[in-house]
Amino acid sequence: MGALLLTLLACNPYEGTWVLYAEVSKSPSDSEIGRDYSTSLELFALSDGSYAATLGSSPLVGTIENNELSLEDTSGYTYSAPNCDENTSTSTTSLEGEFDGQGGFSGKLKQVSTQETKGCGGDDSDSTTYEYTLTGVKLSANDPAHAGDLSFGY
Amino acid sequence: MLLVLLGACTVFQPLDGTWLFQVNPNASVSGDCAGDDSGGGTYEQLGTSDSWVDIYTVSGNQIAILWGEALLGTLEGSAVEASYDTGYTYKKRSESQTVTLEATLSGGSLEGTLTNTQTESNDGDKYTCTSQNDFTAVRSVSSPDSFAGN
Repeated sequence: MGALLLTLLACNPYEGTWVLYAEVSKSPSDSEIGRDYSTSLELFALSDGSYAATLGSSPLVGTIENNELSLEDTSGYTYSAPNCDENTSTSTTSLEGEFDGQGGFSGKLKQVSTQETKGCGGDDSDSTTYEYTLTGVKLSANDPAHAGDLSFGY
Repeated sequence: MLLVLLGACTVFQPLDGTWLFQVNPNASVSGDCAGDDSGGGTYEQLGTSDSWVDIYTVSGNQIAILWGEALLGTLEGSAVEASYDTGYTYKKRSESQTVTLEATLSGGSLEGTLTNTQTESNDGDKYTCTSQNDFTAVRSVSSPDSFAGN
């Protein structure tokens, strides 16, 4: 009975600190392709069943279902002028991937910036995409040998 | 035995913890700062402005919301209200700012408004600007022990 209760109280396998190895797979600059970085993110379970991760300045929010992760953050604006001009600028960061059930993760991080103009003289759009192939491992929780913040760089 | 341990004296505080606040960046503006200064055009921000915010129960129904500054207030039933004030007066000039959070706690989530009022006064001339943003918030249920270094 006690073992059953302990099992039910087992930790969420996704939440926690993850170390990620990222390799540039898509970039406006060909010289960037293949560059690699290491970073970390923290993944939190939320009370409504969704998940959020801290990666960069703004949290990515989304879902984990059947070991498949999908998080996103979008920002931007639309300006509509009194004439027929309309400008829209958006920046979307998305993190997608799969957990292997043994503390490992593989997926991709994508950052897309878009500028769209609809005007009296016609429409125009421009887009910039950065994509990173990710592999990650989950750190053991509450590790007293490695107290403090995790900061990796390149 | 485990049931006894789980029945230990801890009072559940529904607001305590770390919350993810998702704020609509398009504020309703009123006062002297309202008005059409965009040459007739309209400007709309997309997405939400997201922040991690810690909420503590101080004592009884008194709460502290740490969102940049500390907003102090109360939880009465499902109604949350907290505010932060700052300002100064020097000779004939004064400035003040009040930030008020009002929300309803329902199903473990918060939904409400964040109101920011700024007032300036100088030798009898007064300027007031109020902006109000809607938000929703959900609480993190992750265990602190899940994060290395904690």
